[in-house]
Amino acid sequence: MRLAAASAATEEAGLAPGMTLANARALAPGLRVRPGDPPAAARRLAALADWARRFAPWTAPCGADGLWLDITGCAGLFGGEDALLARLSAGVARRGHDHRLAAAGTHGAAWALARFAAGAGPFALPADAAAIRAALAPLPAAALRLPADAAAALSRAGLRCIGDLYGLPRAPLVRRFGRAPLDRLDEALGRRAEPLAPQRPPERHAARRVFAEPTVDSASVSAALDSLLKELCAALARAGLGARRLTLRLFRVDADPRAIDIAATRARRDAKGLAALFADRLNGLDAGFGVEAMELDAALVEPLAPAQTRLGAPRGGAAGSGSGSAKNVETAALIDRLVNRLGADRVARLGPRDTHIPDRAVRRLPPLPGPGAKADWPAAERPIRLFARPRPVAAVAAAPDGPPMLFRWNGRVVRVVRAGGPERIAGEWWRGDSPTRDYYRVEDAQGARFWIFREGFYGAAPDGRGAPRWYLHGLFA
Amino acid sequence: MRGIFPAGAAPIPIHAFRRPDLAALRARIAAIEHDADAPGDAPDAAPLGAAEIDAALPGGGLARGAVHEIAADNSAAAGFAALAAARAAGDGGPALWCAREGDLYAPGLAAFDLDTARLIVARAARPEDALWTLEEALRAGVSAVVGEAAAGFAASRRLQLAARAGGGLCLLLPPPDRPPGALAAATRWRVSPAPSAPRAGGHPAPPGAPRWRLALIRCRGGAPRAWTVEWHVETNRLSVAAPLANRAAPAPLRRLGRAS
Repeated sequence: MRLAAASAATEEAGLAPGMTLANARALAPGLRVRPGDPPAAARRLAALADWARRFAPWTAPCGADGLWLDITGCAGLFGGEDALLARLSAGVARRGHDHRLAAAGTHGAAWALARFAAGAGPFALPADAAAIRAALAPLPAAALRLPADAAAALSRAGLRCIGDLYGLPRAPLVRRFGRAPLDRLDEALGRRAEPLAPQRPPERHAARRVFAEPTVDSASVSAALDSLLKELCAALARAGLGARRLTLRLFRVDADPRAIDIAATRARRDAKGLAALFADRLNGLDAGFGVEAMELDAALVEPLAPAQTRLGAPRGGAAGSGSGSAKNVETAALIDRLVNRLGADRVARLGPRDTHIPDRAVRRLPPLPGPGAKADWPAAERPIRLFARPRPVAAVAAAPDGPPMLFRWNGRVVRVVRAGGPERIAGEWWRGDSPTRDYYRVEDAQGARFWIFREGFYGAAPDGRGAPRWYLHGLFA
Repeated sequence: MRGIFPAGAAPIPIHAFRRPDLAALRARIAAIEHDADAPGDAPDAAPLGAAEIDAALPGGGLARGAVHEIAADNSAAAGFAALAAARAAGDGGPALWCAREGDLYAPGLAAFDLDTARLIVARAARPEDALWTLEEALRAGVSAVVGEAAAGFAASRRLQLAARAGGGLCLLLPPPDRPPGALAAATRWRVSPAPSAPRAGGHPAPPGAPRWRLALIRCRGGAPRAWTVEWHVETNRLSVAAPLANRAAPAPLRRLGRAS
């Protein structure tokens, strides 16, 4: 067992990551050890990357223990790079992480400074090549993001710090150490482009608000949402697009960002209607110690042609007014409201599926009615309510393969007066279904009708296994 | 001439006085009773298709733009609601069914002529969500809205106004434990199953076409009545099965009893 990480105090005692546990215990007998959980750590890091999006739209985890933020153009929002770094540092510390921050014009320089520069930081380098050159020169070769053996090879050759590489001819270096050291050096100095992918791709259709100070007031949150929506919808209108899915992220001071997703059945960009979709979801929101930034992001966009607005068109839903397409738009807007309040899995249309198993004969369709023809259901008599799980009932049958004479349901005994059937429905063997069922439509003296079935056969096995059981599956109207 | 009419009311056309036209007067009363946001905009009705029943309902059917309650402690109410919604939706716009649980079975609904391709099924476990759903749907102009929910008076009034604004038919299927109370409903029904006429063959005989006992227990502008009706799947027709089931027969029966 080896150490994966060590706290600052234990590092002072001479422990280092990679050391075996036995050695570590010998150096520090009072050592407290916890098993590492890399996946959990990676999740925490990804959560931290999400959290950091309140400072910049482009964030990504860097290795197992670092975080990239592309703060290009963001520093001005916070009053300069130093102020941004101070706020970031305070935030990370509040979340309980030791950290070192560096801001530089290239990924490589920021990485090297954050990990190897002397002092506690945060470090902010001006974005010119000479400053980066000077700042990197005293750092060890390992600061070039090289594997441990490559860094060791460089230092064996006497190239202990990055500055030692500056004046050397490139060809012999490549011959001896491979391309990696020079490539990394060029990236750090900005002579070679280094594309990196953010954790979430920066969305093209988004709007952000950063509050001057955290707010817990729901009115100001919804006012900010209104202006975000207006801004976003205007941008979408210019691009000829509409949003199908919108995500509102609320960056809270002391907690992970809270995301609210809304979905639309068709592309839309009406700020007012979209605000109504958010309104319900914002109501029960826990703002924690305050929201410090909001971001609205059209996660899914579709082309939407500009709509012709009619002069004098009646507002509201007078019956029969408006053309068929206006009616359709109104239905789509209704479905959006229903879906966003009740949940996407709770609003649907029901369509037939090509199977004779009653439990599976209904399929959920997207809720917006299309111009299609009437649904085509099989002609067999079916109940109007079907239990998701057939309910076992105690039943008595006159003949082994006949309908039940009476059964117990809802605490009373139902005497069967009329019975139709059996309708034999065999399970789909390729699904490993339950055995064959014999369905009966039975009616009691009052006229209530039940769909009841027998599973298994009488006399199936001498030991009583596979004996028939009766179930109530549905109720007829 | 104008002075004899109360302020705010439009003058009644003169021919309505010369030749007393009952329908015109009824429509006018209905418009006044419905707060008449636009006089003359009397709601039309969705006929159920059984002549005897439609004749007993003002307007010749279930009034659109109004709330109707169908009380039942059984699944027959769902069938009657499906039928009424199908009649109200016709071939036009969509219908919406707000269910409490997920046990609504589409093939069974289709048997009552309800086109499931145009039926939006929503599930709302909480009553307030269900009522909200109904109101939204009515305001959006959905032509038939069914809700498995109980409404208090205030809620039914809201639904009534929403139905009025959208012109849709609102059917409420309250759970059996609904607390009694007034309701802003145009009609209230109680539906219970009735024994069907047996089909030939088998012992016991197979059940025939479904029958219900439809009790119209409250009707604005009409009298309470009751019928036993039969639903014919093949012809999509509702018919009154036994006109005399309407408590007309006890006297001769008693006389028979004395004679024996």
